[in-house]
Amino acid sequence: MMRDKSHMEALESWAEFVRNNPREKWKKSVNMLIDATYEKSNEFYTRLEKTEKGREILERLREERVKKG
Amino acid sequence: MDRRIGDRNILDEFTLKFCEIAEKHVKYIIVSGFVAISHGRKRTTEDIDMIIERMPRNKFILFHNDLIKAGFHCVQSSKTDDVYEYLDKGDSIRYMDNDSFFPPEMEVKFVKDEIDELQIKTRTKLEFTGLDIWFSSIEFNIAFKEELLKSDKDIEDARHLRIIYKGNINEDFIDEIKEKIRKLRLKK
Repeated sequence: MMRDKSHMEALESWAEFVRNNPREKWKKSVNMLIDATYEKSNEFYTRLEKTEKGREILERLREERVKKG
Repeated sequence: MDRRIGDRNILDEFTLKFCEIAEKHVKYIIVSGFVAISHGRKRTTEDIDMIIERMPRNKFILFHNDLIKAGFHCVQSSKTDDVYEYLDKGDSIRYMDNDSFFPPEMEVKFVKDEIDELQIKTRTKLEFTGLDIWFSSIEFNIAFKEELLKSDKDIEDARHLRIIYKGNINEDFIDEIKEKIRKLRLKK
């Protein structure tokens, strides 16, 4: 089921902006979203690695990722 | 460690580094989510999907060893023969950068049917992305997302690509691909 109409309208409006403007006008905000997401998750994993319980959690997460394949 | 150059994000850098090695060994295509993301779709992903032509074990070992030398590792196994077995039986294998705790990952699989063969045959570089790598065509990406994958995220990716390439999409080709998807993947 599609999300509400305003969500699709916002998506379409952004796509039109991307289509009608040079890369330097839109790429920066895309990069910020992607890089910030990865930086936040890496900060979290780095914090986990500092405690024994955190390292156990990391190991379980790694095992889950291997199983995913 | 920040390894980003110019207007590239972490996914761009990871993908470019991986594709540079793939290019030396095999015909490949990047498909699905990263295609939409590299056209400005505002979302991220953990997995970048790559399809490669089938290759014999000895050639794959050279490819795999180059990836290891460049600082990637395979998530499922460190044994090259095991990795090849995964691929050969139709599973995907996943590579990560050694510096990362977790994703991004490159999810690599062999061509599995005539649809994938056609995707490779019609592969293209997409100037809009600013990335010098091989993608499956926009028509293929739209067809897969609208006909097979169909989640909210996929429908939105397809809509985004349709707007970016408005007036330059071969609808007959999309219909042809969708027909193949129904026949070969959905068995309708």
